[in-house]
Amino acid sequence: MDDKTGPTDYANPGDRDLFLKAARENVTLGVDRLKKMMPQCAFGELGTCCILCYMGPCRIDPFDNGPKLGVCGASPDVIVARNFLRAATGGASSHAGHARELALLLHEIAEGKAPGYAVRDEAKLLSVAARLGIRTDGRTVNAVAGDVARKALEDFARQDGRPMNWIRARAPRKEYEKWERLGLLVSNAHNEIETAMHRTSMGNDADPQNLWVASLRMGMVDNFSGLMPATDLSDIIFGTPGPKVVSANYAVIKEGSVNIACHGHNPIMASKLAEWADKIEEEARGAGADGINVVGVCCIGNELATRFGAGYAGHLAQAELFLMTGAIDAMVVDMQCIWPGLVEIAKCHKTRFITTVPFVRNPDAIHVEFDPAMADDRAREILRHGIAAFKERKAAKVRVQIPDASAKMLTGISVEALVSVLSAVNAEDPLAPIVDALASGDILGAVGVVGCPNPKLRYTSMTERMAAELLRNNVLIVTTGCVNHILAQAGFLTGEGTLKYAGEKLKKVLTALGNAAGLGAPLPPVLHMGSCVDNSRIYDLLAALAGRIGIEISQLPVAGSAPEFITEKAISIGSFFLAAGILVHVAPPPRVFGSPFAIGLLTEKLPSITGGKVLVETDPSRAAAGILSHIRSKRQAQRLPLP
Amino acid sequence: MKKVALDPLKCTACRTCELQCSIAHSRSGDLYSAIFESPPSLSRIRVSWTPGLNVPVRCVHCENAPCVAACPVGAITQDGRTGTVQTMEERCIGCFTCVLVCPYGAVRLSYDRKKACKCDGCRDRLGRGLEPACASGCPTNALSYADFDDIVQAKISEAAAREAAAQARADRVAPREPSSLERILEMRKEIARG
Repeated sequence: MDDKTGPTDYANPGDRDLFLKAARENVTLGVDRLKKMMPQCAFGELGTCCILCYMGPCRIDPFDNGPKLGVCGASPDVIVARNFLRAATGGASSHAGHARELALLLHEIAEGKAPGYAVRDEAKLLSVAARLGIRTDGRTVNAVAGDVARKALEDFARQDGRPMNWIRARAPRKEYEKWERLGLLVSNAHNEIETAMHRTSMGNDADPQNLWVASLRMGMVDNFSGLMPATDLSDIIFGTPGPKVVSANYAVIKEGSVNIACHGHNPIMASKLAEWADKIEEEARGAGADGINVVGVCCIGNELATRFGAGYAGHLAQAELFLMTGAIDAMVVDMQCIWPGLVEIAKCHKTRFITTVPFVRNPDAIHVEFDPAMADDRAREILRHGIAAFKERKAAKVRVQIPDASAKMLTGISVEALVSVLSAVNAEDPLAPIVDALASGDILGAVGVVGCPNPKLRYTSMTERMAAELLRNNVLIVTTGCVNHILAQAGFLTGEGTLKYAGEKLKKVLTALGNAAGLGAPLPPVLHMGSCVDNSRIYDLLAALAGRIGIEISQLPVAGSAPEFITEKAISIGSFFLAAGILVHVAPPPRVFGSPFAIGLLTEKLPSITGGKVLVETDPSRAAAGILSHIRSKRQAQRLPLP
Repeated sequence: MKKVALDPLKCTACRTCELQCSIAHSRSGDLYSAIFESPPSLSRIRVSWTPGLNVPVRCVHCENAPCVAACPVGAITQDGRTGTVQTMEERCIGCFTCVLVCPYGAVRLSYDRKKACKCDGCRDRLGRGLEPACASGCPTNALSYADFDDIVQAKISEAAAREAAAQARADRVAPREPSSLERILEMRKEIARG
């Protein structure tokens, strides 16, 4: 974080207004705490602090001031590799947990025990079932759904060592063979997580290479028992997203409405709130409100926007600021990225802070445990908290300030939706226009920009500036996760965004595609594919493109970037994309710099093993330059023109 | 006069001061570049300890410094403007007399063992309006960049408060007739209370 950097052209004026309001009202925010936290511990930043046993804490100083080994004799290479694997395990556990909840829900639906839910997308159910080798002809939807759910749950229980069902069903042939060769075909998410925790505890694995292979395996767990089943099962239960234009930024909050901000990740609970908001609108009117306004913060914002067209409020670091508006009546959270400090700000504004998951609680929150079997009752109960809080807010005359910051974005670009849009151009071979544009260089390459917005890098508008630089060079961007909130707020997800940001060639392609699809405007230069678990959609798209061309995914002129990552989930997703053979750009620096082995592996050796590579760059132009040079070298290797 | 002040009772031995010192004295000034520099940027502050106390050991920039007096070639001088004790690497002959005479153990050997290496009071950082790296990095304020005149004042006030408390305790045990001065002071206390 560099205080000398002034606000950039991309700074959200709404953020500034609410930062000022917080300062006036003496409310401490994450950015204030971050300033006080500086400088942060460099042992931690380098990954050479080990607290895995009670002979420690041990830390290895890179400047030759102290011991070179931990008490047990672990080298910095071992310490860094163990710490990294534990972080990847935390991330993969989050995604596996997310997917498992959906698998259990689909199972309940099939058994008729979750009356509030149903299979909403039969086509997706049948396509997933077919890939899993489940017989579908002549069977009821619920019978097939039950089998799909059981196949998903098998990947948490298998003891025979055979590869996961989801890998066998969803991995492209070339990648499957590569992973088989490298020993990366995992079998059971829970076993893998257990082994990772076991091998990193005191006195186990001391081979840095073996530990790094385990991190790549954890990446496989993340994708094949986290991201992919989460997306597949959510699509089956809630419907596969299709293109829609939604409103974003602070203006989605309405002063006169009961404002319900959902925060977290899994659509199981939030979808019910969105549904019941309409059904009990009369109660809200009775309390003097215009209605009930359900909006999404963080990744649930992505889920609600792409699936149901709900207001796309803001990213995780803006959750505090949405509370600062004073107009949120209830913030309803499920899991992941829920900052404990939110509750204090909620209290200042008569906002009811409602937790719903048994393992995500806060002593100062109201807890309404969400049980899918009682979904409708619980949703009503939660919304009624919001209505009651609205009355209190009005009676107490809480100071409300909703910044006049608004944006529109095109969302809902699932692979299915993209194929259907492109079918308007070429029904026989929908991917042809993209493949042709990639081949000619009109689209130089593509980058998946994913992950979180990090307060450490928000000051420099890292994501916006990097994205603008890539687009100017005719690189198409696809996004998932919280980082998309930033790009939406800055106007990247509209046809005007194409005219403003895209290079001439990319502009031409997107304009032609937009017109052919009947949008009457160019396709946006940034295509929003969903929440962070929907990184699986990016992978599906890459698999489809590589399959259509007949090459490995690692040969495509593409890259992934988590330009402001925060969570362990980014570590495990990144590990998967490294296993898949993709260049992964990250900022801030991952905690690996204390290990010469890790640096050598991630930047020099890995490219010839899986094709993956890590690029660490915290400056937006240098990050874009590094990604562009990688894309150019991939094009060169495929003998594609380098415009 | 501002200097780095130490309160060892607050030191957790996290060694952030050491790393911040190394970074501040590296060529790049940036952690992720500094770790690749050769020779490594040695820290001029070292966290030492006894069973009961963690002690960051650093040059205290003595006003009457034994190292300045002892250096046979005049390689260590007092910089009047910043009130710091500075070594001149080009003059240092590596006799390490300074190491022997320093009462704090604050002078160490350079990485190649050829020169004396000690704290420069972060002269460069001070010039840029920044505090010394060890103090600004310390998460618990065990090290702080403080005005020693203020510290003296604070100590004097503490001493007065301590005496007053002792007197009050003594009076509770053995009450006595207040003197006329004490009557005046009592009135002053009442005025102070408002």
